[in-house]
Amino acid sequence: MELASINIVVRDADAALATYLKLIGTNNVSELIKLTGLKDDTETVDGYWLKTRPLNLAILTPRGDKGRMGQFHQKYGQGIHHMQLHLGQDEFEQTYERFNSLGWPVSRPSYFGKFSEAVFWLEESGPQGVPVKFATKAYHTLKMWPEVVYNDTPQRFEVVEIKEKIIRPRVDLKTPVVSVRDFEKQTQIWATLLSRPARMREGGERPPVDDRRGNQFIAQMFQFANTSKISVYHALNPEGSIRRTLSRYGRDSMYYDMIFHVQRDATHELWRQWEKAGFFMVDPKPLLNTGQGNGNYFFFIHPLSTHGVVCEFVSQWNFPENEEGDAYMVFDWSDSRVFMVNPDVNAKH
Amino acid sequence: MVKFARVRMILGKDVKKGDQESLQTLFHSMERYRPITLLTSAAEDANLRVVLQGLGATELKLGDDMRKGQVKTIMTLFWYAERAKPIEMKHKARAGKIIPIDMTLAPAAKPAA
Repeated sequence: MELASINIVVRDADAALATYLKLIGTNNVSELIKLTGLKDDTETVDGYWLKTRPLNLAILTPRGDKGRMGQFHQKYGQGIHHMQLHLGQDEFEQTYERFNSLGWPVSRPSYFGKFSEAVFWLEESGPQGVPVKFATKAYHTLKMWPEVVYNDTPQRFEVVEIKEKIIRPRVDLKTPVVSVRDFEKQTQIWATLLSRPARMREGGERPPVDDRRGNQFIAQMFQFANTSKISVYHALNPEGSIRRTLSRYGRDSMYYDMIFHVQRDATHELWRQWEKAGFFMVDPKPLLNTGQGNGNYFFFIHPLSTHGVVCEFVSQWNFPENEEGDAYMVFDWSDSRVFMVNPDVNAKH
Repeated sequence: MVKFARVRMILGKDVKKGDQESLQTLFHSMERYRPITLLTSAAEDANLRVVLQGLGATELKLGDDMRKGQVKTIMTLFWYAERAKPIEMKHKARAGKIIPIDMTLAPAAKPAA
């Protein structure tokens, strides 16, 4: 099981595409795919699939307001609608059966005929409280074939040439963040859903994270082989924006933001570039996290300028290979400039 | 007092005398992103006298070094802790009223080099 994409629902996919190319930089998008008339079991959507690393970003506009994304858009407006996980077909079929046996609400599998891809949804009404989509590339007929909705879809699929060049330092889309009310219960649910334990816990013996924007939260992180991760946040203070957003929408769980990783020594340059490009920066400059001693820079762009999505940026890091070691996180210096000390000084000999 | 910036923002809520409000609570987010052209340079942590005409005043610390002519917003001038600092309302006012806001460098503040 691999985390593959974050999928946002927007009013105008072309406008949102322009925004996200300006944000991410065309040099950080290896391929852009235009999807027209992609149909699953409840609706048809149009939009774009941006191949970024390690997660892809899908920008989708539903036709109508009756399907999952259409209803979401009508109720909550623009924002992150779902994440997509990719599985081998055998695991896909087993996961579908496993969720069914747990009594979790799964959709009928849908078949994107023109791609030979099958998907099913773990619905928002499930214990995790947010929609999650599971997909596979079929190498044989699906085991549950009589239940499958077969669609000759999408109507059109084209790789689009990106003509405008917007060059940014390295920007990696790595993490969807789910904010929850019941932390212990949700931690267990996500571990079951993803068939893996949380890799890192913020909170517990460590002090809660203070984002210096009025939120104190604890978190669990679930890791994937492609270095992406899913973070589950529980804000401790009801007056902070994370809990207020949950309350405003009357939800127990929701996608709160998506996290891009940026090179530590390019953080300030990126911040300046984005401010100049007209993005709504949330603070006067990147914040150096001194509170927990991890030394990370982080900052946010307000959803008013990113089609309803809170975009968070943190220094580039990965989980350490050695889970028992002292390192809390490992900085990623690939693509970095050399200042006074070359990062290669840490290369394994 | 050196004039630092001036902006007019639309009040986002009704207030009455004695209420404790802040830049965060008085103005909707779109207003807090209204462009503000800086009239002078100032250094990080400079104290700014922020006067909300007809409502109240406070002193806030600048969040970074700023240069004359830069275009900033309430969000990029001040960290959250400053934006959320309580301001006592001296008069009542209705949502929708346009509030001129004057920012001046407090006498102790040194202009940026």
